Amino acid sequence: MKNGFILTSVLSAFALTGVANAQTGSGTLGVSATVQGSINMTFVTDASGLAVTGTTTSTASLPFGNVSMYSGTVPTNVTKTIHATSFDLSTPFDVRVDLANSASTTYTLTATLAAADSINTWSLGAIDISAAAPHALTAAGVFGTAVPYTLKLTVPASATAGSISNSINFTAVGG
Amino acid sequence: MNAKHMVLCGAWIFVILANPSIFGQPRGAPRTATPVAAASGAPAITILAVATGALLRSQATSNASLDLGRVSYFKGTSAPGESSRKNSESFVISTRFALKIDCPGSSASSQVKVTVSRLDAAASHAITIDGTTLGPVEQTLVQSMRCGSAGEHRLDLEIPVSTPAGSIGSTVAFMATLNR
Repeated sequence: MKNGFILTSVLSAFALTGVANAQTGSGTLGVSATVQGSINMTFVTDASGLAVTGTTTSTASLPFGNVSMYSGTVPTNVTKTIHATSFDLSTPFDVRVDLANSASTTYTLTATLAAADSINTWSLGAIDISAAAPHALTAAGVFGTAVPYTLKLTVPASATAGSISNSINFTAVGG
Repeated sequence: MNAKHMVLCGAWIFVILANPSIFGQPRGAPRTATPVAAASGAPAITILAVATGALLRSQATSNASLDLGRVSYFKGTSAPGESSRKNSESFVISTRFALKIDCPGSSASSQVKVTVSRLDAAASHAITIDGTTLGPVEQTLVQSMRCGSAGEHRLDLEIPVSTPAGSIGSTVAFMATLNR
């Protein structure tokens, strides 16, 4: 019985040591968020086009500079075509649409001239957008790919010399 | 069974109840239920918001939640106390919080070790605290900190662009062990 008491004491001490070493505390932190699908459109300088000011951003411009129908030069990668009663300035530029956290596979792209122009003609490819109404450019755009579009500005010979400025609003919607 | 056997059995039962870790049960096993009040002398963890961090809600003793709100790859986050950055195939929402460890019944000079783990295995996102990406296995967050003190930490939530839109969530478990 004496041995049993000694053994019990030793084991109890061992157990109490375990209690002392097991002093732990715990806590939990729940982390949550709501992921939203998002789409982003950027303008990119085309390999054969006029340098886009603000390339790779969603706000860009195409500065044609000073041009005239019969004289002067045009910037690199701008094509001037002279007709009987007007001249064209054209250059390609790229539109890239990227997508994240969405199952969409294609996008539609529309373009709208900010202010209707009854003097000059604004075209994207073969589409005349001068009326400032939305015009569909594609209904099956491929995400992550820079797609070239050619902007053509037709200036009548009868137009008064001066500055020409306008904006084109592009809208991409995932399908 | 004689008296000697009874004493031995009683002793071993006591050992098992008092010190389960010696029989293979990890002392640091994450707890998913709301923790009960810490036993006297055991460290108590309090999760706190910091001035530069996101809104943090305390739910119960040692429990809190962090809702990072609406986030997206291209717009990031607009919630106060959060920042975002884009990688090529993912985006990261970052915020800060603090952990305070109290050790009732222990001396002021006592130190604790803090470990951290993640209780879920959702592949929709990754969570990193102070640069350590969390998984199911406990990892050391703070090797030694003084009882009664608080430390600030950075939490990063990384979301791949392939993650479908919707709610995501995880539970992070902290364990503070008193150093002897």
